[in-house]
Amino acid sequence: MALSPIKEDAWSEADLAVLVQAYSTLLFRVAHSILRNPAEAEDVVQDVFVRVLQHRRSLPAVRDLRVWLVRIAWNLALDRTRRVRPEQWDELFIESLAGSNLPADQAMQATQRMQSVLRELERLPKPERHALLLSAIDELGTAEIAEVMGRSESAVRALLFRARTRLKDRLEKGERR
Amino acid sequence: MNHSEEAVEKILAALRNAEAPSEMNLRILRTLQRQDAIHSQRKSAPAWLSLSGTRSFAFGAAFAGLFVVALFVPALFRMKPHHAAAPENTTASLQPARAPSSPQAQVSSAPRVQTPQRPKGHKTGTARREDSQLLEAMHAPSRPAPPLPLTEQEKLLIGIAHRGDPQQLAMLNTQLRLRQENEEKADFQNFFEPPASGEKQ
Repeated sequence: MALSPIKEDAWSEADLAVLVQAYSTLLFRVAHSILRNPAEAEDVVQDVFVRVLQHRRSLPAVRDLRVWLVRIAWNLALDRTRRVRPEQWDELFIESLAGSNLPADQAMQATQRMQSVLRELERLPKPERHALLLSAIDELGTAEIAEVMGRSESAVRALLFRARTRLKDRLEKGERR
Repeated sequence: MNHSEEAVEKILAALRNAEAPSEMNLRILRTLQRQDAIHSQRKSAPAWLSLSGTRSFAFGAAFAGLFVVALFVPALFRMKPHHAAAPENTTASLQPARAPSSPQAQVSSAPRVQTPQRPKGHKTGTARREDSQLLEAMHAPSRPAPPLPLTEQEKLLIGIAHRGDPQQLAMLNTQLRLRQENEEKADFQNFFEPPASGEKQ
């Protein structure tokens, strides 16, 4: 745990502010990797800290606060995808990525390619997709991804390998067509 | 690295480097402060309510109370019309029969609400009708009811009063009418049955 251990009954607003400062960006990225929308991801981060506030008494019993928070954010974001499909934000997300210095035809091709990548990403088997999305976040190592997903490290590595291979194959097939 | 792989890497990099909106932390902290305030307000509630067991007991008791009220209110409503109808009938029986002493009194008398005659032997049907009537009365806006339409007799009386025919008005007076009738009777008898002395003449 990055923060100093917090003693029971010693929770204050200052502690919470430190927690928000330390983890909000990481949690935002975790939620954003699934939802691909900044506003939705921010809502998820807020929900995470509201839960922290509600369960502050049980916080000292949490072994690894960082993984615990990531897991909450991950589950809340997944829960949100039942109501909000991430595909509906893809256009905005791709627009934010598209380079403005490219000629129009190349920019269009790049946009289409990214659209197909996101489409194929969504079509991946759930564990593979989740492993790939979590691996995209630099701050998380394989051990932490394994803990968030509730799998072993080797299983996560295998999932990552399969996800990348499958994605590559599918995209190549799509290009050939 | 082909284009597809490039695109994959670009997307993963975009997800990796996603920047949180500005002032996100500030907004979150504000929300947490609000939540904390709500939480502390709840804490300041009576201690017996904060216990989960007593709280559930209180909810259970409240629910049971509501259930009992829901059971008894319709029953009370069904009983009420019988009790309410009785005084109305007694007042009706105590009231003297309307004597047309003066036309003004007849005209100004407010129309009475007529209670419907219920046929005997259809208790469930009548109960349902009563319920529906009570419901209608309950949902009706609280303003005085409009006057009932006039009866034929009342319309005739108004007609007479408006025309102001003295003979007709006088006929409404019972004593005058009786005297008139007696006079007419006497005239009739005089005409058809002349006195014996006159006959002889």
